[in-house]
Amino acid sequence: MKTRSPVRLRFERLGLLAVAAVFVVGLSSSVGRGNAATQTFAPTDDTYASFTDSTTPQGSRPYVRIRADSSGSPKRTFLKFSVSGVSGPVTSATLRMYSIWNSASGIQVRSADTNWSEQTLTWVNAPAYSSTVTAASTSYPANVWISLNVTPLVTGNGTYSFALTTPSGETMLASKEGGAATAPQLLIQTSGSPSNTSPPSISGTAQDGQTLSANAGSWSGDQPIGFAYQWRRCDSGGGSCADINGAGGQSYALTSADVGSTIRVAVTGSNGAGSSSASSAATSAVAAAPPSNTSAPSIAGTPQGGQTLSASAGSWSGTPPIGFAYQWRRCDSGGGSCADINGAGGQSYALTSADVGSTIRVTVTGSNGAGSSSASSDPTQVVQPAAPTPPSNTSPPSIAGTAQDGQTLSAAAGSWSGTPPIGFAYQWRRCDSGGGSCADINGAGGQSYALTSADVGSTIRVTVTGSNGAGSSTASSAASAVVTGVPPANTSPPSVSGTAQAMQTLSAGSGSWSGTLPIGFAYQWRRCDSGGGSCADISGASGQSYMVGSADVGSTIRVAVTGSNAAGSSSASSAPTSVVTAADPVVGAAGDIACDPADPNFNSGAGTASACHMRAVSDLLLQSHLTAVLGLGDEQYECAGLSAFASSYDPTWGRLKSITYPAPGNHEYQTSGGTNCDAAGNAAGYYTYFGAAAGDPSKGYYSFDLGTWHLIALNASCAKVGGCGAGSPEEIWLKNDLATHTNRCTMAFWHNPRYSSGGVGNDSTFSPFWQDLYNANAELVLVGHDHEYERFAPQNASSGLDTARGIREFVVGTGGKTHTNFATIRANSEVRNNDTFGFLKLTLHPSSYDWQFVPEPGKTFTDSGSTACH
Amino acid sequence: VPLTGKSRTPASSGAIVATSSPVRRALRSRACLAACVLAIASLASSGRAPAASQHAVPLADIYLVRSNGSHLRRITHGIDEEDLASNPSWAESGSKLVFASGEEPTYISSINSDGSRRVRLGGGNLHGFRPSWSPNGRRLLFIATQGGIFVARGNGSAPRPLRAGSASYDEPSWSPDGRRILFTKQARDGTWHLFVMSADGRDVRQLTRSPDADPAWRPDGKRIAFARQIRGRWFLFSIDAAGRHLVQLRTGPGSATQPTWSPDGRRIAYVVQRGDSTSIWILDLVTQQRRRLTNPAALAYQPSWQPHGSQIAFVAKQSH
Repeated sequence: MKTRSPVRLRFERLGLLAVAAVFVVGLSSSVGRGNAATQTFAPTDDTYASFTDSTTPQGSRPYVRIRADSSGSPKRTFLKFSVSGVSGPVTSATLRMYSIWNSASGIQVRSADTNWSEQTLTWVNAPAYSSTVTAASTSYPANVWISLNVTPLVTGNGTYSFALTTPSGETMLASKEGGAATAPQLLIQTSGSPSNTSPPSISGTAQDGQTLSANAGSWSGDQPIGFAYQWRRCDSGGGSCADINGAGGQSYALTSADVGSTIRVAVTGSNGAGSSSASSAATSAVAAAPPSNTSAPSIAGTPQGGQTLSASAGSWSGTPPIGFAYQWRRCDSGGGSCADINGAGGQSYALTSADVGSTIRVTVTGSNGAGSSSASSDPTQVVQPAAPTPPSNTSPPSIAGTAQDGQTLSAAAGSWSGTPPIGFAYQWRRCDSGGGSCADINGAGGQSYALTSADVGSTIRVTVTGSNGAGSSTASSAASAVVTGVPPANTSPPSVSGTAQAMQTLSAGSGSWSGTLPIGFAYQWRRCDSGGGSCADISGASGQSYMVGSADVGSTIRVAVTGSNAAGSSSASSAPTSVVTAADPVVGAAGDIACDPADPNFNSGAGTASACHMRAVSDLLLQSHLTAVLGLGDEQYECAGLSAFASSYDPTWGRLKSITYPAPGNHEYQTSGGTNCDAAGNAAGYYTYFGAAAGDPSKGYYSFDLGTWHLIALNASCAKVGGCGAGSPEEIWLKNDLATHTNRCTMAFWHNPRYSSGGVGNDSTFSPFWQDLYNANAELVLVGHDHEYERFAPQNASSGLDTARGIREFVVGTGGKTHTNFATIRANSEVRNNDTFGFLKLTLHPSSYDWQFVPEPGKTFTDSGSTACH
Repeated sequence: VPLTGKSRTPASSGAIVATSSPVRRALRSRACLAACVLAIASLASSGRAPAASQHAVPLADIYLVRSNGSHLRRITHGIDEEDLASNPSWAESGSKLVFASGEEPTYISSINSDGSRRVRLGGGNLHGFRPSWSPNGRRLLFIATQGGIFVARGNGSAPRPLRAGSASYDEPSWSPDGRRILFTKQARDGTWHLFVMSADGRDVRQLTRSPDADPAWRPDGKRIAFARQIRGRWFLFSIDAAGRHLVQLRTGPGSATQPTWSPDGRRIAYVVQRGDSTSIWILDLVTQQRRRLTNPAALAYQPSWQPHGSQIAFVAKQSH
């Protein structure tokens, strides 16, 4: 602890001694440490000026008087001090006056001129003073010191003068002539380090959990003074103190570690000049805190007979250690009317049948050295009766029935213990022949199971799962015998689909069969008489489909199907087809075919990537079982010379010469530019090569029938045959030919297109032909010349769409030579291609036709469809 | 020889260009040589469509004309009916064209727009259709005669397939920025649809699923005009580059195909087929006004608008 300063001692004594005026004080005194100093000065002059006695100096009186201007006879007091010996900045200056009378309104101090003396000052020569009030006191009684802060007016050594006034009433104060003890004082404080003048103190209750607060006490020294706090734990006598770690705040929350100790706080005051510390007195010994519940106890466990509940004490405050005692209580279903359960004082409690229908609470009592308290849990749900026992198999499930494909097995659940009712679920399992490696059979969850071919060779088990409210368990049957298979048996006879016509393909349906799967089927096609009897196997016809041949015409066809599986085999025969009729004609058509042997792309007849594919296309023709081949002109380039035919067309398309019906193209009549040309322009090579098949060499047009169809070959080299217009010989012949051949279906073919999106374009030259054909309800026109494939919708003679009577045109300039470019896509053009060689295959049915573009190998473009005849 | 091919009765005139005055002016100028021949030859056939009854052999040649119908001239001179010039396509410079000519097999050639320097590309061995130069002229796109989209150097050398195989492709064209290629591909049912792919042949994307043909980029690359067949007849539509926002163009009577955009994208030249004739028309997309550029009897088709210019190249078929 620090010692009290002498100044403070003097003041306290003054307060006690009241008006005792015997105390001697030096003119000034300096106390404190370091640079700090407080100096006290007595006035050199103190007097007052009186309005009513305006010329009499009052400086020798032992008092001074002050009276408000409002009284009508005012009095003002003047003081003068000579300050010297002050060093360092002034931190405060206080004017102290000792009251003789009281004052209800207090006094005011102002700065005044210093050019006066108490011997001469009167009302009339009183010095001027500031209109600004520097400080004012509150009301005061008699016989007290009044302090007025005049720091703003005092800057250091020098002479200072003050005027004292009052706003109302009057008062009297001691003057220096009244004695040193009560003489006015000017206290001047200069800067200094903190010094405790009244020790720190602690407020609060010394009990675990409570918070203590520190008061720094009183300090002298330069303001501001900062304070740091350190709480200390001391023995019960207040000694052996030690800092409490982390307790550096102005307040401190007591913990259980403080129980039994006393607490002090050390305060360190600091300012720019230094620091010093002071300690508080010790508190009383810190008391322990009794337990207090902060979060209610709780119960875990299922409220059901036979189950055990466990208590959790919840959360508690209070000085540890806290001991807990438990008491279980039985309450009504609403949680009220609780009563202790005898003997239930543990942390857990096994529910009994007596608890069923009640709720349970637990009361927890927490105790420590400071006391004890209790708290109760919420009630449990109403305690339910004890659970039933789960099923348990006592005699295994069994299987009844015959272990053969198609038979049905039944399961018996076996015997089971457990609380009834017990429900049973079944799962059939397929196992290896030894009864092992079982796997569930999908969808086989019934009490019975129909064996399938998938079970053949396996054994079967059934697992039964018994279930009740308490649980479930599973038991498995013994394995069945190995499941045996069933040989195939036909249940619905084989069938034959397709048309009983030569060149058609028949397909066999195997019919329906019973027996163990998989059943393999073998087919044997049989040729029978027209009544379906006298059947004989057709050699080599053992596939599922059969292409009817010309040898079958007049016969009927059956298919015999043999079904086989591991258990055996059996056969069944289809009904006979209708009597096989002859095939509808199938024709292949294309123009613009064989390159000149001198063509750079001829390549010994094999052609190049983009040209001279006459061999590839004719290979396709050969494979296509054609009735006839139609040449759509420009069969041989460049001028259809006979030797060119011999080395280019003949080894390729010529392989089908015997069934070929040609029409001449412009290159047939070309007179130069190729091999062995007919310079006369009569297409001699063409007519010589094809002979009678090409018709009259002076005409080049002719007609013939295929099946039920009428076919007309026309010569598009109009200039060679007297023109193609209406009234020309060829047009007249065409009209007559159509008139005399009234076949249901008719087609014509020539070289130059009437309609084309290719470079040749639409050419009305052939409108008269088209009109005649249209008038005769013809179906088809095939042309070439543009080296591409194009299909048009049915049109009339003036490029109009006519789906009722129009004629469909195909441009098939894809016979092998080259491809050419499309120019303008024409109206009603349906399909176009110019990068695929191939031919158009037409099947001429009695009242319709099928078309199919057959591409060369390596190309996928195709086009197919069917249209009825008009 | 009277040249009265007023647009009201165009079929009666053999003049290629519909309005008479440009032809008259052309006749007076030296540049008109081709037009003069055509006009005279056609009119000689008694004012009828060229030589239908005689089945005279028509030749197909490439012509240039300004979009206002003036300055018609022929720049190729076919030698016979199988020397059919086709598919004229401008270089970006507008000073020369690349085209196909059908001499069986078809050759790809280039020619200056004044008709000079007709050269077979690829050293005379480049066979194919639908040629077009990339915008920078360094690459040449075409359809090989055996099928497939091919690309070669600008001079036709080093051709290689970009997309080939069993399927059929047609009408490839460069996007105006040269980074994509528009083309048509044939579906299994024989119909053709629009596709687009990157210039290296990857990232193929189908744009349309109807029977479509003749796709053409707008010069800003944002839209594509094309022809679509509906109940036999062809109509023009446009879509954006992603294949969306289909708009039908008001092309008037007849079957419309082969659109080509003006450089500012405001007008489209295209082909109208009515009966057996074809003619080139110009549609102003802003005013919706249509104007016929060539006489139906001239059988003009395959228009190609000069980049950054006013000339339209096309093919016309005339008897000689």
